[in-house]
Amino acid sequence: MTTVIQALIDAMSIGSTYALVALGVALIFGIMRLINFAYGEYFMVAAYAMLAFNAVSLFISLLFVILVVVAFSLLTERLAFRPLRGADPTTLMITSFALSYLAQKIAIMLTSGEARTVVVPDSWLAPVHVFGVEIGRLEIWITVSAISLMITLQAILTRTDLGIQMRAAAEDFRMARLLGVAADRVIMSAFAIGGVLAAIGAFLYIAKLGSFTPSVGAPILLAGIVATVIGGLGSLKGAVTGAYLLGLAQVSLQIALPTNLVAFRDAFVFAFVILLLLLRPTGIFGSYVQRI
Amino acid sequence: MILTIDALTVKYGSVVGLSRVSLKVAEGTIVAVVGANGAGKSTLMNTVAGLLRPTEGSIFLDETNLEGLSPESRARMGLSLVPEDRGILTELTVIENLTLAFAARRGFKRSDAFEVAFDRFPMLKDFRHRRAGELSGGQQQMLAIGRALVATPRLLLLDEPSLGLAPVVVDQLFSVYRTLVESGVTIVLVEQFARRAIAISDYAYVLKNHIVVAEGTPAYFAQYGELGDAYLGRELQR
Repeated sequence: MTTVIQALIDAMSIGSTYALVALGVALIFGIMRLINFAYGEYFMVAAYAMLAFNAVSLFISLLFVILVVVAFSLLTERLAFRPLRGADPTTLMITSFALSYLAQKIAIMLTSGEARTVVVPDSWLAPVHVFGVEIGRLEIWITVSAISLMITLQAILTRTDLGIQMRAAAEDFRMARLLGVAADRVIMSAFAIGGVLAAIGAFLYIAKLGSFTPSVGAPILLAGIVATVIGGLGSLKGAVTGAYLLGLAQVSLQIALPTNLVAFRDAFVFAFVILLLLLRPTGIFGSYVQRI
Repeated sequence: MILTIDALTVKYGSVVGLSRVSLKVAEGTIVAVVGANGAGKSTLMNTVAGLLRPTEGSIFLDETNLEGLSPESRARMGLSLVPEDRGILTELTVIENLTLAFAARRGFKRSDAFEVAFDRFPMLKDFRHRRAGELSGGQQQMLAIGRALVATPRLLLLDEPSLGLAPVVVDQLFSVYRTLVESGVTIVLVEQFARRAIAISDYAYVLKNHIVVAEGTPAYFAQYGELGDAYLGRELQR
């Protein structure tokens, strides 16, 4: 029983990290039809930004990371994607690939690609015991932060003018502009929100990892994109559902697979993804018409 | 003149959409633009709204040349287009659709602003929390016009508002236009119901094959009886 609960908590925590990435990817895709492969590099930038103040104060460090990642996110929008506004999705996607590659190579050049270690206070890592189940404190933090961020995002999207404008832009960008919605403003907001999600997600994810290299964002981006595809591209609800399903699949296979097959866990996960897409090619909530 | 269009030419690649179209709209009037399918009516509306870039010619809102201005800037200057497809955001609720109109408008009391639309189309108030996609075609058109009214435009461009609607709903729409003008809005009405549109207008233009083939007051068109002639381009062509 405790194993099951433990596994569920692990799945929640992994799923939460994926959910933050998936939400960022889905939000930008919804509005711009851009699958942003450079999103993984927002994680990388967050990781390096963590090195600056991590030893001083975690709170200051988190604020600094958010600031840096949001700035980086907005910069990618301004320099790489804005000049291509209106280009077809493939062009945008390839640009994001190029950007991802460029950012990683610059990081390798500056750091010679060596792994860096982040300092995390022991109190963060000490587990909590609840009814005989051992739960990592970071796992709790990750889950709680992700859920709070999702609730906040939902509130922004449904209760603020900006949020309603973002949803309108996601459904029909041309009409939104005809109504006076400023294209630049909604797109920059999507990138800024994507930056905040990536920054907080990365901060906790990297605290858990303890160390990182310039390619730290790659696996997490892959998971995020897979989650959005499972859930249905462009649907925020789908992105979150996809993320938690993916987390659950990974953790269950980790437990259920015989030891000699555990190394191939992700092969099984992706086989499951392919099967799901064969049954529902548009993803769980996908219809491509129904977006956010 | 609130709107002055001078020798406007629009090309899609090598295909001509509009050729040297000139048109004037006086403040506080209804100007009808009629013509057969493919005559260039929607091209004209979309170009004025900033969705298409003219190849030549100019568009002035009052004294301001609109050249290079984005659709959203034009909306904020008081120009509001209800496009042919109505532009309803189907995933959003009725009230959220109306809220979008505030993007073009600042500094006023919101509840009052909604009342403008609710007074005109009471149905919108009853359905305000319903998803706009669930409304009927006629209700969506009322929402589209109601939303345009919340934005309090100075110039309202209506592109085929009666398209695909039941006759009774069309009557309802036509009865609204004059009262809108009385409340200070200027209307450019694009219609296939040519005779009807001309009858409620102060001035009308007939487009055919991307050019203006006739223009005049309703009285002028009335002399010719059959408006079909204008489409065919016999008597009215010049």
